[in-house]
Amino acid sequence: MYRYIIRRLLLSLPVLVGVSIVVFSLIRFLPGDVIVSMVAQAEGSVTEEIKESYKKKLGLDKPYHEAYATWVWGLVRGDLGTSLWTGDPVRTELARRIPISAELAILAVVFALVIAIPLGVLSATKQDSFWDYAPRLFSIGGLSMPDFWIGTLVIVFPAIWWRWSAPLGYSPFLDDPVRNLQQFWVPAAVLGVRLSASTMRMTRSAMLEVMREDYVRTARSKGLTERVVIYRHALRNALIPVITIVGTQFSRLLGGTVVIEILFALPGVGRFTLDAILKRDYPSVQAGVMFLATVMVIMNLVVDIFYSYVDPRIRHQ
Amino acid sequence: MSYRTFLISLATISALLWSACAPAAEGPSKEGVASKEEVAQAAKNFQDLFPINPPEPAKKPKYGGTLYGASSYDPAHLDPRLSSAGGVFQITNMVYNKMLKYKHGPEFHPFNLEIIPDLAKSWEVSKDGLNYTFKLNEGVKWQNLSPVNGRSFTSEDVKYAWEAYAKEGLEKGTFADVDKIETPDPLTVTVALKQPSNLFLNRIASPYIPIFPKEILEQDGDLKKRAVGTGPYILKELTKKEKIVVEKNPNYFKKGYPYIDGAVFYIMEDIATKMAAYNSRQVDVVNYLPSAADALEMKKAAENEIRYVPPTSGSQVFAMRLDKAPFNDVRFRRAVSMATNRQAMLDTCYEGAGYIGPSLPWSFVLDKAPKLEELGPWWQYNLEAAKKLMAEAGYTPEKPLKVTMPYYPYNEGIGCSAAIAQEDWKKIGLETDVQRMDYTTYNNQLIGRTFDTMIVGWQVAGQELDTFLYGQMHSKSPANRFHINDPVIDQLTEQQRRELDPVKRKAIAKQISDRDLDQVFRIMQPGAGSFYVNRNTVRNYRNGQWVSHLFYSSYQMEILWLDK
Repeated sequence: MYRYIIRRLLLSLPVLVGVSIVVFSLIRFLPGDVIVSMVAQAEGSVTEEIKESYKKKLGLDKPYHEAYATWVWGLVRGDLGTSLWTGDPVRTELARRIPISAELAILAVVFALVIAIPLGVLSATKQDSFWDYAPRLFSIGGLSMPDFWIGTLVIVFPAIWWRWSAPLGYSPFLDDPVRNLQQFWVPAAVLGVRLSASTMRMTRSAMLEVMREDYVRTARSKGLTERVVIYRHALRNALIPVITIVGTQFSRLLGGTVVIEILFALPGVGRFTLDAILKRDYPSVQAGVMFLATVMVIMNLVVDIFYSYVDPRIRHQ
Repeated sequence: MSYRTFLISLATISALLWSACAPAAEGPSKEGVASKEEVAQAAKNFQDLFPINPPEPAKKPKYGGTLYGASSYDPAHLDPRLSSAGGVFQITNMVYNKMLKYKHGPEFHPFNLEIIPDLAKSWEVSKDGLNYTFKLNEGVKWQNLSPVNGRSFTSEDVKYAWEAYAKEGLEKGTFADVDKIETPDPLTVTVALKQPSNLFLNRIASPYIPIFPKEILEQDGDLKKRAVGTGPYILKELTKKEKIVVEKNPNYFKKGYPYIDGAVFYIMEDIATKMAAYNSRQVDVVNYLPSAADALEMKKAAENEIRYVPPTSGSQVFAMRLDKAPFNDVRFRRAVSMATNRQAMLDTCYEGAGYIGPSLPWSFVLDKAPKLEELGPWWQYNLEAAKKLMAEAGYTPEKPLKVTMPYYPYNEGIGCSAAIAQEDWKKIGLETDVQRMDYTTYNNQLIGRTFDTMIVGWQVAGQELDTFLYGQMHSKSPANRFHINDPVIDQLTEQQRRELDPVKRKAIAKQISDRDLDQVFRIMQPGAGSFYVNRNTVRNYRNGQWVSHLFYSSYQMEILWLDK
C-alpha cells in the first residue's frame, strides 16, 4: 500500500508541472494589462512613465522563462510570491482562507450526507411509492435550482420577514464555535442542497442495484430483519460509488464556491482566486489554481485508498 | 401510485397554491415591493420625497457608540500615493487629515464645493496666484502609535508628504507647477508655484492627498501596510475582504471630536447581502440603495432616512474613436446623438432617477440643471432627422456601419441603455454588437485608449473643473480617452487653466461645454441618481455632488454621531 501511495504521488508530479505551465501562461495571455488596471481610477495622470515605473517595481519586466523559473523555485520552497495589488505574501492570504473554505466544504458534505443517504435508502426501498417519488422530485429540484438563486432567497427573505441574517464578520470555530456555526450553517445548507440531490440519486441507484444481488437475497432468506439486510449488507456496498462522488465534490467545493462566498461575505479560496483572476494578480491566481490542483490530486488519491479499504477486492488487485 | 399520477397531483396542488398567492399583474403594490406605477409617479418628485439635505433634529450630539456599516470597498493597500481606489481612501480619510478639505455635514451646499480648513487653520494666496501661505493648527499630534508615538505635527511633515507626492505616484501632476515648499516656522508652510494655477487648492483639499508621517515611508519604503496619522480615528484592524475596525483617537486636535467611539465596516460586494445586513439591523449604513423602488419601500419605515442625490452631469458615454472615420465626421456623431433616446433610457433603466446632460457638471457653469430641450438640436430624439443626417454621412439601414461596442456593467442601467440605443441606431444605419466585458479587459481598452471603434466608457471626474475640461478633452491629455482633437477646445481648455478670475473662468467653461454640445464629441447616457440610506440614529451624515457615501467620503466620520 505504501508503494502504491508513493507511486501515485510521484505520478502526480507531472500533472502538477503541467498545471503550473498552463496557469502561468494562460493568465498572462488573457487580455488586459494589470498595470493599466491599477491606475484605472486616477484623475488624468496615467502616463507611459507611470506605467513603466509600475512594471519595474512589480517585476513584470522579466522575460517569461525567468519569471516562470523564479516562481517555480519559490513554490518548491513554499514561497508563493507577493500579490501585485496588495504587496502581501500570497501564502499568508491563501492560508487565511483555506480553513474557511474547508469548513464550508466539510459542513456542506455533512449536510448533504445527512439528507441524501436516508432519502436515497428510503427511495430505493420504497420504490414506486410516494416515498420514492417525493425524494426524486426533491433531487430534481435540487439539481435544477442554481445555488446562487437559493442563496439569494435565503439571504433576502429572512432579513425582510424576520429581521434576521447570519452574523457578519468571520469568527473562527476555535474562537467562538457558536457564532461560527451561525455564520456557516446557512451557506453550508445552500451548498448541501445541491450536493445532496446528486448524492441521493447515486445512493438510490446504487441501492437498487445492490438490493438485487444474490447475497442480499441470501441474507433475507437467512431470516435477517429487513433493517439488518439494508444497513449492514446492502448500504455498505452501495456507499462505494457514493464515496467517490462525495470525494470529488469535496475538492470542487473547496475551491469553487465563489458565488456562495460572495453572497455570504465569506473570505474563502474561491473568492480569493476569482478576484485575483479579475484583477490579473498573477501570483495569487497561480497560487490559487495550484492549490486547487493539489487538492484534487490528493483527494483522488484519498478516495482511491479509501475505496480499497472498503472493498477488499480492489485491495487485493 | 404511478409516477405520472404523482406528478399530476403535485402540479395541480402547486397551481392551486400559486393562484391563491400570486401577486396581481399590475396595480397598487402588495407589501414588500413598490409597483411600477408608484415609482413612475414618485419619479416626478424624488427630490421632494427624499430631500437631499433634511434638517437635523434639534438635539445636542451625543458621545459614544459604534457605527456599523456595509462597505463595497476592499482596500488593496493603504498607500494614498499609489491608488485612487475607494478602498484605500475609506481608511486614509479617517486616519489622516489633509491640509484642507471639502465642507460636509448638514451645513454644506450639496452642489457647490466649499473648501474649509483641516490641518491648516488659514491660508492666503498672493495676488499673482504664485505664492501660498498656510498657517497650521496648533497642538496637532500624530496618533500615539509606533513609529510616530504621538509626537508633534509640524510644517516639516507637510513639506515631506507633499514632496513625496511630487516624487512618486498618481498625484505628481498636482505638484507639477510647484517650484518650492518652505517651512519658515513649525506652524507655517509656504508654496511657490512656477505659474499661477487654479487647481492647486482644490487638489490638496481632495480626498486623495492626506498628510502621512515620514517615519512609515522611510522605514517601509511605501505606505501600503501601515496607516498612522493625525486623524480622528485609529486603525485597529484591517482584515481584507472582511472588515475594517477603527477606534476614536483620544488625542485628536479638534477638541470635542469625534463623537463616536469607533466604527466597524464589513466588506461585502453583493447588494443583496448588504441589504440583508441592513434589514437585519446588523449595520446602520450602506452606500446606495439599489433602486428607486427599494427607496420607496424603505421610506415606509420611520427608522430609515433616505436622501436622493441627483447627478449633475451625464454619466457613461457612448464613446467613439474620434481620430477615425466616420466618427470624426460631425454629421455622423450628430445623427447618432439624435437617434439616442435618452429619456427612454432614464425612464426604463433608471426608473426616472437621474439626469440628462453633458459631461460637465451643470453646477460649474449654471445656477440650475438645464432641461433636455435647452441642450440643443443634436440632443433631441428625432429618428427621421437622424436618418437623413446619417445618410449624408454615408450610412443607411440598408448599408449600415457595423461596429463592436464593449461595456462593463458598473450598474444595470448601462447595459440597459446600450440595448435601447442599439435598437434605435439600427434604424438609422448603425449596427452595434454590444459586448459585456470583464473589468480588466474593458478598462485596458478604455484607459489604454485602444478600443477599436466604439465603447461605453466612463471618464475621469473629480472636484476640479479642469478635470472635466482639459483633463477629458484636451488633445494632449492622457485622460482624453476618446481622442478628441479640436483646436478650439485645446485653446479654450488651456486658457481656463490659467484664468484666476472665477467669473471669467466660468464663462470659458460655458463656451467649452457649448462647443461640446454642438460638436457632440461624446454621446452621453443619462446620469443615475443615488438613493443613500442610513438608520435615523446616524446623525450629521449628508451626501451631495462632491460628498459621496460614507465609505468613499469617510472624512465625514469626523462629525458623525449616534442618537442611541
